[in-house]
Amino acid sequence: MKLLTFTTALVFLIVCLFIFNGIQLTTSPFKNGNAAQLAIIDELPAADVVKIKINHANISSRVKVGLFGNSRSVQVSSQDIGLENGGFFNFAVPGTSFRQSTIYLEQLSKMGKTPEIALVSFDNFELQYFPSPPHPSAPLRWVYVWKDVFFGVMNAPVADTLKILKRAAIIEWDSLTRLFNYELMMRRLKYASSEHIPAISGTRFLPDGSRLQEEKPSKVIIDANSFADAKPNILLDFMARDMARLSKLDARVIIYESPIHPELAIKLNQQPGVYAAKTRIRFLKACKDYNIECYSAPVLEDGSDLWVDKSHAPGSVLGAYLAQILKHEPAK
Amino acid sequence: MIFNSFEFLFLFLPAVLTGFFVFSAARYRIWLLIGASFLFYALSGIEHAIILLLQILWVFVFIRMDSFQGNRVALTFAILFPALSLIYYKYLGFLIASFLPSYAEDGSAGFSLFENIILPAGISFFTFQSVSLAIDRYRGHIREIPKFRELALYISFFPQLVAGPIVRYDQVAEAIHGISAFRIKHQDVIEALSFIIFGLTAKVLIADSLSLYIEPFKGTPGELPALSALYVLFAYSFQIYFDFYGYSLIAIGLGRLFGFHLPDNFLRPYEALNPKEFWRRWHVSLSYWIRDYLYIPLGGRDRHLRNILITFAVCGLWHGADWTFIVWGLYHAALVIGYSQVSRFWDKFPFIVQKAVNFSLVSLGWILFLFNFQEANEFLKSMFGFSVNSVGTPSLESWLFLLLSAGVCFFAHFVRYSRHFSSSVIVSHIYATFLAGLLVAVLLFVDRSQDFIYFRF
Repeated sequence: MKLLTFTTALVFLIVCLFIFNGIQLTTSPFKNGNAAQLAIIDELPAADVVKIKINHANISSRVKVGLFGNSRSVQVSSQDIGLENGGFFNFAVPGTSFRQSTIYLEQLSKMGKTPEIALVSFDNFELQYFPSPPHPSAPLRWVYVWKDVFFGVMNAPVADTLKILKRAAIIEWDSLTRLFNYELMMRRLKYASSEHIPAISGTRFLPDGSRLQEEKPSKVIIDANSFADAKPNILLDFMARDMARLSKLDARVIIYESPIHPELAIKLNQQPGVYAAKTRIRFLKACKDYNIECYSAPVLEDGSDLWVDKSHAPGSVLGAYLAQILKHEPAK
Repeated sequence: MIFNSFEFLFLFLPAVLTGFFVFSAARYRIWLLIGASFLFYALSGIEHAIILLLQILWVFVFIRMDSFQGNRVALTFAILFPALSLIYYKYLGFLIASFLPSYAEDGSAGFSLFENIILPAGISFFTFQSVSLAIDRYRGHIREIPKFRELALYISFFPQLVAGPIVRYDQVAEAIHGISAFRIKHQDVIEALSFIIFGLTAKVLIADSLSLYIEPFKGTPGELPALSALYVLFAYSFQIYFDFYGYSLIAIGLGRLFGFHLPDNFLRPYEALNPKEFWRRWHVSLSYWIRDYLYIPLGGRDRHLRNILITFAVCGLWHGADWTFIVWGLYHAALVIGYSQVSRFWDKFPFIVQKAVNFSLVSLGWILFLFNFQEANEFLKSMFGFSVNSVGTPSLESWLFLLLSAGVCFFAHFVRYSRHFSSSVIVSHIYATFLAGLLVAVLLFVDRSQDFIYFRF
C-alpha cells in the first residue's frame, strides 16, 4: 500500500465531504411554500436553519418586523403578532442563543436585509442560557472566535475568556462530528432534492418562519426550585459587547427578556436568582449605555396559564405581548 | 471509551500517539502507555480502574516472591483477589439469583451490598491475563520476572484491555522490554492502518448494520415466520462474528502502532469443517487459555468426556453470568463430543457440506446469546414454522445485506490483505484509495455505532 496515496485520497474525500455535505441553498421554502422542505428543516442542525433563513432574507425584500431568538420565540406566527400582511418574518432558530442572534443580524445587515424592527429575544436570565453560536461555518466562525478571545483578553476576566474558548471547542467538536454523519448527510440531500419527492404531511415550519408548536400548551406543574441550579453561564462582558454590536445596526433593535410561566415569574420577581439579578443589572446598564430599547421579562398574567413548559410561552401569548411592545414608543 | 467513537479516533488515539512518538522521552513511553490505558479505562468508571490497579498490585506483590515458583499456597493467594473480584462483579448476582432466589426477589432482604453492581468492562479478559501470569510464574514458564511497570502495561494495555486477545506475558514481554527503543517502520504503519480500518469496517459497517436489521424481530421471537427466524439466526451469527472480529483486528492494529504483535484471535472460524476445528479458530486466545490452564490440569484426554463438559461449561460461564451461557457451553461440548463420535462419517462429506452444517450448528448456539430460555424456545418454534402469529418479514435490503455479510465473511481475507501487499504499483494505489474510502465510510456511521458485544464479557 502507498501511504502517500492513502493520505491524499483521505484528504481529498474529507474535503469533498466538507464541501458537499453542507446545506444546499437554492430557493427558499419560506418563499415558495415547499411543504417537504419546510418539514425537513426541523430535522436539520441549528447552523443549517440559520443559513436557510438568511438565504430567505437575501432573496426576499426587507421585512418590517423580524423576530430573533430560539425555541422560546419560534412559535410566534404573523397571526400571533398581528402582522398578517407579510410584514413579519420569524428568524428564530431553535437551539441558539442571543449570541447567535447578534451574528445573524450582523450578517443580514451586511446584505442590507436587516428588518426595520428587529425583536431580539434574550432567554430569561434565570435560565442563564448563553451558548456560543454554531453559525457561520468555519473558517469564518474561527474569525468570530478570534475576535471574542481578543476582546476577552483585553476586557474580560480570564475565566470568562477560557469559558468562551471551551464553548468554541464544543462547537468545533459538534461541527466535526456533524461532518461525519450519514443520517445528517441524507437529511441534507433530502432537503436539497425535496422538490422532487412527495410533500410530507405535518409540516412544522410555516412560510412566515415560525414553527408549529410541537406540544400543545397544557397546565404546567411548577417546581418551587425551578432554575435554582442554574450556573452563571451568561458572560456579562461578552453580553454587553454583543449588545453594543446590535446598537450599531441600521434598524430599530428591541431586546426583550423572554417571559417565563406567570406563576414562576411572580415568585422570581420577588426573589430573583443571584446570577439572574446580576445579569439583569448589567443588561439594563448596557441598554442605557448603547441606547437600546429593552424590556425585562414580563409577567404574562393576562394570558392563559396553559404553557408548553415553564419557559416556553404559547405563540399566541408571546405574540400578543410582542405586539404590545411594537406599539410602544421607544422606551429607552 | 470505545474504539468506534469520535472521542477515541479524533482525540484519544492522536494524543497518545503524539505523546508516544513526539513528546515522551523514550524511557517514559511505558508510563505514558500505562497512564493512557488507565485513562481509557477510567473514562467508563473510576472504580473500575481502581479494581484493575488493585489486581495489578496484588499479582505483582505475589509473583515477585522468591519462593513463588512451585508454591501452591502462594499461587492460590495470588489468584484469589482477581478471582474474587471477578466473582463479585460478574457472578454474585447470578449466584444469588440461582441459589438464593428469595433474596434476589425480595430487594429488602439482605445483600444490599451487592445491589447495583456494575460490571467493569472486560473484567474477564484482564482477570484471565492476571491469572495466567501467576500460573506461568508458578510453573516457571516466565523467563524474567516483570517489573511493576512491565506487569502494569501487560495487564492494562488499552488496545486489548477490554476484549482481548488474552495474551500470555511471554507473548508480549519482548515488545514491553523493547518499548523504549521501538521505532515505527513504514510497514508497521501500513499494517496498523489496514487492521484498524478493516476492524472498524467489520464493526461499524457490518456488525452494527446487521444489528439494526435484526432489531425489529428481537422483541417477538415467538411470532416470526420461519424465514424471518432463519434470517435472525444467520444475521446474528454474522453480527457477533464481525463485532468481535472487528474489535480484535483494531486491537492488533493499535498494538502494531506501539510495537506489539498481538496474536490473531480469529482464524476464519465459520470456515471450520467441524465443531472441534471451530474452537481452534474462534476466539483462539480464550480456547488456548482454557486448554492450558483448565483442560490440561484437569487431566486432559485422560478423562476426556468429563473434562470437555467442565471446560465448555466454564467457557460458557466466562461469557456471561447466566444459565443460558452455561447451556451454550454445554451445547458446544455436546457438539465436540458428538463430532468425535461420528467424525469418520462426518469427514466423508464434501467440505462445503461440512462447513455448512457446522456453521448452522454454531449459529443455532448463538440463540442463547440473544434470548433467554423461554424466548429461545419460542424462537425455535418460529424457526420450524410453529409460530402463533407470524408477523414481519425482513426486507429485500435486509436479505441483500445478509448476503453481502456472508460474502465478506467467506471471501474477504482482511488479515491477509493487511499483511501481504501486492508488488504491483497500480494495485497498491487502488488498495490505498480503497482503504481511505472505507475509513471515510466508517466515519460517516460511527455516531450510530454500538458497544462491542464482548465488552459484556
